[in-house]
Amino acid sequence: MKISNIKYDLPIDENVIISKRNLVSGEQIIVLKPKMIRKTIENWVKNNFSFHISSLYVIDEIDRFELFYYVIHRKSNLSFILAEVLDYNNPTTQTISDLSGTIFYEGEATEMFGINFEGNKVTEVFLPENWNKGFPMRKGWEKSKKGDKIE
Amino acid sequence: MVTWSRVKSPWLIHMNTGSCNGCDIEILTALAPKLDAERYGVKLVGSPRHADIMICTGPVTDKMKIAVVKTYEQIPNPKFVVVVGSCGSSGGIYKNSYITLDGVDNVIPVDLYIPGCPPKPEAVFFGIAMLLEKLSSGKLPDLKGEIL
Repeated sequence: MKISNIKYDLPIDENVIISKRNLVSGEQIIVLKPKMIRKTIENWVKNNFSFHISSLYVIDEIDRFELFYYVIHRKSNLSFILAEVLDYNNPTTQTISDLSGTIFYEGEATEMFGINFEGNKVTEVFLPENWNKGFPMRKGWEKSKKGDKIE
Repeated sequence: MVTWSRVKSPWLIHMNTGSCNGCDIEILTALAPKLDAERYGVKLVGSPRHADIMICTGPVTDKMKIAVVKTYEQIPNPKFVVVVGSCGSSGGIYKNSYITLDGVDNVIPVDLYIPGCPPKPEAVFFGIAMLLEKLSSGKLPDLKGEIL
């Protein structure tokens, strides 16, 4: 059964969808307008739809960031991906850590890529204390020279 | 009287079915003094024969399958299974892996899911409280895999 043929009970407002595309694995990526993911998930939580966020990851596309929320639909046990494109110079979006258990995923994206999740206070967990060498998972990041001390 | 005793002393058995230990630590935090689940009679026990609720974390690896089933069968009735974490709920990041079974519900029946990676201790605490609330009505709850 193809994912695109399945009708989820998770409504997504057609007005906030920018594009849809399928991965080779069969999973569907639904790209939403900026800052619409929180509203969508709030709606699902309010209406007790059966879903949960399995993971969250970021891709650095040099001129932009792509943020992916891996959603699992409980009733059919199938998955799809909500995506949001962020501006490279000001990557800011809203947290969903109070709605779903993504607090550490968001913290990791903040520390590694510099993405600001408004409302998430977990920002100093993964890197050493007083880290001032930038965001190490960005493609433009230059690693420190040999012998440099991490202050 | 039976309902009262069941609600006032739900004993838990915690089983790691292949998790990364993130959820396990959050469960322990829920039982630690800050939230103090023990004030509601919630207690971790070492033997499944003493337990009422089984808490599973992890997507269930191939090798753990037999252990999960055996542990579940040893718990006296009525018994409840609570799954903590995304991996246990659906496979999480191990979904479609060749070595995992994509969630606890593919092995034993599950009553309550607490998804998250990891879920906050408050969510774990809330899940247990929700189960107890349903138990206190006097009838055995039919949660049918409710998601928090």
